[in-house]
Amino acid sequence: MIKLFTKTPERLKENSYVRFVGADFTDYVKEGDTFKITRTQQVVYEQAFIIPSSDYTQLDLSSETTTSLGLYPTGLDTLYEVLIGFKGGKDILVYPQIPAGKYFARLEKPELFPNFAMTQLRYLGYYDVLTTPHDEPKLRIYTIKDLEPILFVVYNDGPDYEKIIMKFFVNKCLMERVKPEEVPMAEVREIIHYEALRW
Amino acid sequence: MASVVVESATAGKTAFTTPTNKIGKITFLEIDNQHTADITITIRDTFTPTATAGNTSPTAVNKDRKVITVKTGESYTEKVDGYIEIIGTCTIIGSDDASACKITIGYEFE
Repeated sequence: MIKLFTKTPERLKENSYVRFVGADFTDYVKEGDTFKITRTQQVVYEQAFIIPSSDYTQLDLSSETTTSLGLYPTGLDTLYEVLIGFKGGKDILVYPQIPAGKYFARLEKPELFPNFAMTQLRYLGYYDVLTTPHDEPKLRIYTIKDLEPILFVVYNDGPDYEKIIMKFFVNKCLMERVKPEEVPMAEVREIIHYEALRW
Repeated sequence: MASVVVESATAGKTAFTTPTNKIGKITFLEIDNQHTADITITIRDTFTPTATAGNTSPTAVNKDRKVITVKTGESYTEKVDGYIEIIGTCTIIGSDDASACKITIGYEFE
């Protein structure tokens, strides 16, 4: 459900299928649940942040609070497929967490998890404007209602204030539940739970 | 590329305001000082940072991006090639109120 590609991935289209795997996602989307995409709408959404040098902010991508970015659906039948690209902020490092406080990207050696306060761990498990530029976004997330919030820890590693513009290409997908056995495996896009992706 | 001409003013003159989802870049700078005295021009960027761990209630910040002194009767021209970034509002401040000192700023948004 969080994936960095080598090139911009194709979006989900009408009449395609998705299957949620790896673990139960929410109370109503369980492991193995399969859905047909019946309608889509593409929405471009941008937010900018100005961060002082050696400082950070935390962005909540969910729709849970008044200050969160609203990148989670509020309807049970909606899936958001979001491509994320960055502009500006060449020294800004973005570390995803899900759930809050737990970094998504890490290596298996126990102490190798992102920590921007330590120079030897600062450049681990981050995204920046080079890894996912706004005109060719390579970072994709999937969100559904009531999923644990994804957080972005946004750290300025540069010597001055920096502005980063985050461009979100939101593909709103209306889903219709189908029986898994009725859908050929080859036609299904699997959405893997974050805990299964973080081994 | 857009451009704007302002006169030297100690209170400052707004040259342009960068849209929230863009980064402003000054690409060209010309100062024609026909005033009776030397004038120092300051290019100031004013913006309000995002609330951060280090400052949860940020207020507007002024960052001087460039300061140039041009002697009386002289002019200064620079093709900047975008190395002066403006992330908020660009204000031109002169060391003297002088209608005879004109500042031309070329800029674009990315």
